[in-house]
Amino acid sequence: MAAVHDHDVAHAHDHHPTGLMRWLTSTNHKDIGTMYLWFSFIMFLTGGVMALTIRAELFQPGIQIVNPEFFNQLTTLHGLVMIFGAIMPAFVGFANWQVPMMIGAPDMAFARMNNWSFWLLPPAALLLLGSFFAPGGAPAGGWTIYPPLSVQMGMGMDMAIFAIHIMGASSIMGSINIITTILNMRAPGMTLMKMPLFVWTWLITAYLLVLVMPVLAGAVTMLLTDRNFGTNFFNAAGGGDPVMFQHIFWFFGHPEVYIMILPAFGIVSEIIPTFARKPLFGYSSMVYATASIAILSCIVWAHHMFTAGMPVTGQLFFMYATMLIAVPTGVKVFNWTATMWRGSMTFETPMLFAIGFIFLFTLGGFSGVVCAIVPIDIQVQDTYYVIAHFHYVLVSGALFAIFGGAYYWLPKWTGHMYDETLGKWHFWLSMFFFNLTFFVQHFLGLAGMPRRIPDYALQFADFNMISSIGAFGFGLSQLVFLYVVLKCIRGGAKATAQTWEGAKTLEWTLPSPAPYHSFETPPVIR
Amino acid sequence: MKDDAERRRAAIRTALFLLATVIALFVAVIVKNW
Repeated sequence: MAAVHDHDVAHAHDHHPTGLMRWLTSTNHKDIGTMYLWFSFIMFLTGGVMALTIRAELFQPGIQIVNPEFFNQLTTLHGLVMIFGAIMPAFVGFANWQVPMMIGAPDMAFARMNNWSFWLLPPAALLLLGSFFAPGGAPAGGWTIYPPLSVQMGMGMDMAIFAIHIMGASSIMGSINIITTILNMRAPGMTLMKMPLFVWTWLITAYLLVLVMPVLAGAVTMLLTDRNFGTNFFNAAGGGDPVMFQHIFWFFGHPEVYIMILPAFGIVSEIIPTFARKPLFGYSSMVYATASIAILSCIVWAHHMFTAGMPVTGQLFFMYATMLIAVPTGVKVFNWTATMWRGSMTFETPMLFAIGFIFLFTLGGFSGVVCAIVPIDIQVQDTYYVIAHFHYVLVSGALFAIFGGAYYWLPKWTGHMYDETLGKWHFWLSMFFFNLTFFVQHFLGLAGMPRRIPDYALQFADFNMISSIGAFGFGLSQLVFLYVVLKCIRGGAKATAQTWEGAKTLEWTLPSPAPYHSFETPPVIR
Repeated sequence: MKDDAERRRAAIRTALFLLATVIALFVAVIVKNW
């Protein structure tokens, strides 16, 4: 994309408060993006410690380390923390940093609301994690907080519900901000179909958030009134319907899966053309595929509840609709592969993570199609097969894209090159230990090992031992990432403006690190 | 090219429309299940 802009680096006005006040009062999209990214990394480590405690308990059959009640609290909070605390805020961090720079805007449309969107998150996280110390402990009914369990639990559940409300409000404000920014603040000449794919995927993701977050808020509000104010929305004894909660929850929950993967598609769609040194193959089909996935994601929710009971016609509809999502997803995988085809490829760390993403996300997609088939799903429902499936989609999918994106844009954010050797070590260690952890869980699930259980039958022992070793390896590998990032912030080889020769988007026309205020005069897109 | 004031008004209109959507959905979910 050719761009002309008269941004004068020497006159970058970077006057801002220093110290704590810079971060507390910031309305700068780059500062807020940085805070989102650090917050999500801290939550990633927090959820990771919970995962490792779970895997330590499952290292051998029998109850060794934690009692079953606490185990259930760990599985529940691990899910909630990773989804609402780690993956989603990480992508919002990327959006904050990148969207204004990629569309040639000086900042987000509502800069003060942006500050508020972020600063709602730490108190929500404290509420959620604080529930461990409430009488009765943290919620223990799984991250899906199904009634009747969630109606019967102690006050930890109220704390979690309140935390979900706050995080939902933060997400809604963030998505309104992103939509408004993209629709109203693009540089002259940047039509919608000239926008970078990352911006497109975030625009569609933000619409999904606006559609489903109020639905989740409604569901947990009804749960809250059932628990505290004597209503009977989900209480069968009072004329309510607990299965209705599942329908409402998954009307949020399935699009949520795509909220966590569409921005990952966007990041991968930026990285691959850069390192293949070719334009993205099938740009417009990528846009339409993203939109199709988003629309289809709203009509497949009941595939999460095939065993809850529904008419055969319902099962067939949700099965076929789910399988249909493989079509636009296949278009994307084809386009990424075609972009690499006969490209002048190099394999820097971002590209490694992007290629790892394509391999492993596709594997997770395939096991998703397996789960979509009703008779198979009835067998594998609530087994480790499902755990393996969604970790292939969310860890080697969303998380690998986050790592790839972080390495890709770190030079632009910090002004320094990261340590390429250590970055590659991080990738290969993550790749090896991720598969060691989760590939064997397919076998455990197919053999019938149920999820959310602290003990298991002896025949599952070997694969569980392998999985636990893999999990500790994967967890420790992430410390390499932390070291690389800290080293990159502190110094290193100076990054040029055009860090990657194949990169074409607007942020690469700015110096590295990107000035505190960028594109005060909009660039003109030819 | 839009001037700044026009752009600001458009941004506020977009945000208000989205906010109204959010509130309508939230209310609809609860009222539907009342």
